[in-house]
Amino acid sequence: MDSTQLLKGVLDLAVLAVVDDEDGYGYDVLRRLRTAGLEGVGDASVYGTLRRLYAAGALTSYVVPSDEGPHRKYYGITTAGRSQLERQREDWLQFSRTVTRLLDRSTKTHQQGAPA
Amino acid sequence: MNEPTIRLETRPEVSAFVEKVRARLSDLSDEEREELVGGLEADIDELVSDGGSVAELGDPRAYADELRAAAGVERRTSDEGGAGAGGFLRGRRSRRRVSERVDVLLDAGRRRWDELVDVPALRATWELLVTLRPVWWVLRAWVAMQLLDISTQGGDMPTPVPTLGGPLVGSLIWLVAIVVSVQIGRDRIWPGSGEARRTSARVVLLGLNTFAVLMMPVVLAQFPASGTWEYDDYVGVYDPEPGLMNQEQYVRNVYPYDSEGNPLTGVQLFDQNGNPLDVATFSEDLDGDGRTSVAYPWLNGERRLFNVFPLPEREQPAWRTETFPDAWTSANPPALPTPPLAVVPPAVLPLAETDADAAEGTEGEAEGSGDPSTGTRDADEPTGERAGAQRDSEKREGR
Repeated sequence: MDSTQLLKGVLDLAVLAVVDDEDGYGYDVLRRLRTAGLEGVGDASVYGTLRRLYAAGALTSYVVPSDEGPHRKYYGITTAGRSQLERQREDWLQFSRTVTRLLDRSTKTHQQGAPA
Repeated sequence: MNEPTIRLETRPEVSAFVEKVRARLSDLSDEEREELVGGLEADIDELVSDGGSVAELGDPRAYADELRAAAGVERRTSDEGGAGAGGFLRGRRSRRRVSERVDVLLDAGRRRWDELVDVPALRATWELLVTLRPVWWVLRAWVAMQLLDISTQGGDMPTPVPTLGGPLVGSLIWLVAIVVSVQIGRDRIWPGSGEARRTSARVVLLGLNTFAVLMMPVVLAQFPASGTWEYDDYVGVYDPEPGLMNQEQYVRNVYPYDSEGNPLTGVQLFDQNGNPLDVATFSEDLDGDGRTSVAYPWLNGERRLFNVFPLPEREQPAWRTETFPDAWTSANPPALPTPPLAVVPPAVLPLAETDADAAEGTEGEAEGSGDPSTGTRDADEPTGERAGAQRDSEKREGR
């Protein structure tokens, strides 16, 4: 399956996790997600997600002037964001465990030879 | 704040990109839009410093749509906001709902397409095609002009550059068509009216482009098969050169002789399809005296017949190669030219017994169709001599 499709469902979680680690501005968050292995993540998707999480109160935002160019908009996690991250982390772990188990079972069935 | 805030040096291509994204979000309130776009310049600027390029971000419109979708901000049509309750607004509302649905459909199609071409195998090709958009703008103008040309010119062969009847008028309208098409492509005029174009404009533009694509084979089918069309168009079909070739020269006049070898006058000639024989009707001024010989037609009532031979000829200035209606009453009327050979050896069909009758029959037909005023020169040699001559000719042919 295309990993970008999977990513859409968990982008909130991934972004929250990255910002929880350390405050960051848009491109910084994008770079950290990509470094972590989520290479297929779209620029605008990450920036949009940051805006939405901010609007929902999961993130705070502050502007930092930059030496080289336009100011950067930094995001930091809020208490609400942190509890959302905890909740979604649980959801994700449970979900991924379930799917993994399901896949394992299906692999075994295939190896034994499915009934006709 | 301190000094760095004053130095907001953003790369121009980054600013331009963000401007386009902003324009695409023009349906939002200023506050909502800045919420989405704020900080974007810094992010993209850093992407570029990091070795990336604005080009790899793709189309700013698609980018804006992705940003909007990820941020969870609904698309809004421009007439939203002022709508209050009330019966008379219901029609308008349902129309708005239709246009919203169409917008969503178009956006989804666009996103789907963007995703489709955003794979490593296609990305470079697609980027190349995007830079070639101006070529398409010119091409669709050409298709439109060809359609106009075809519909106004009737059955005429189209020319690669549309003429629309007159060469100058055609070129001018053609130029205007290109400018209009390019301006639509550059979103300067309706229906290409900018990033925040209305649903109707999007539908019209999509419809027009689809129509142009579909009409392309229709227009191209008007031209003869590729490879030879240029030759055919200019020499063979579009502007056919009249004439009949013999010994690598144009045949300008034909001198018929009967089977006895005597010159005939007023012989009508047709080809195997019953088409009148077509010869080149004027000679070149080979001797350089500024005069040329122009052939004049025989007449059938008002009809001018150029397939009746020999054609009368008239000396005219080399630069007047047309026929003049009043030439026959002028001081220098056309005249039947002297045949190149006074007589030629007689000819017979291999069946010698019936050839005399056959020859007489042919002669009679020739006389019947000939101009009575000119008459046909009649052969009155005795039959015995003729038979001897026939044997001679048979011997010659047998060599």
